[in-house]
Amino acid sequence: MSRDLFLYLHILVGLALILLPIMIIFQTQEKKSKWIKPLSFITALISWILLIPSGNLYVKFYPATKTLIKAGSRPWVHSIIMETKEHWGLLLPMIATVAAGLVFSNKIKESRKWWVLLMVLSILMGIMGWIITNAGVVR
Amino acid sequence: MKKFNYYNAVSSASILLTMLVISAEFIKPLKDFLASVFFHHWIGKAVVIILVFILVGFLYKENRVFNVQDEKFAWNSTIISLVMILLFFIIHYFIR
Repeated sequence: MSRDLFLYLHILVGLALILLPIMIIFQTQEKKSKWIKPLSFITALISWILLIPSGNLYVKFYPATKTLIKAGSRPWVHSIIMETKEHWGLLLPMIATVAAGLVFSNKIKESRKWWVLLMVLSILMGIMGWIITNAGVVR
Repeated sequence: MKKFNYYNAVSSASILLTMLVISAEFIKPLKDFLASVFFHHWIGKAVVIILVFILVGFLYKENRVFNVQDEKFAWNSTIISLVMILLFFIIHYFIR
């Protein structure tokens, strides 16, 4: 698969991990929601699937970008932003699984803060990805 | 949560990840070992913490960890791990 395909998948699934938790958070406020379990399952599932495009991008394609960033004027973008993002990303599917697991255990109220954490983390990682992409562009 | 303790699973995975992140930066043979076994140190960390997440979730079902409620312990350890990873890379960049 090409780099662009992995990149688009990575961005689309990442965006889904911002939007789906928002939808679920709204569902947690309803007394009886028929959507919360399927949405939670899908969110947890795609959070694990996200490891495939992100892992491929990081292991196969990122080394060239890393060389550019480290040789440029903002090496901290790799050393701080990318290093943090790549490791936060490993906890993302686990946080989604905890949130979904709580929903399936009928602990809807307890799941809410984990969905909020997933959403906030996904937004932060999206911003970090944007910074990394810009730092890796040759001007 | 009778079959799987999600709280203990995420606590152990997040704490282990933080330990692996910090120790792999200081102990090069550890990073090299992860890279040699799993092709890349990042994949190595991923495999190790996923295994721990699954094993601890299924095997450790106590609802108290170090005398703290598992829910509270899981939330605190996850947040602290995320913050520690960020702080570690900031400090590591400036004092290297």
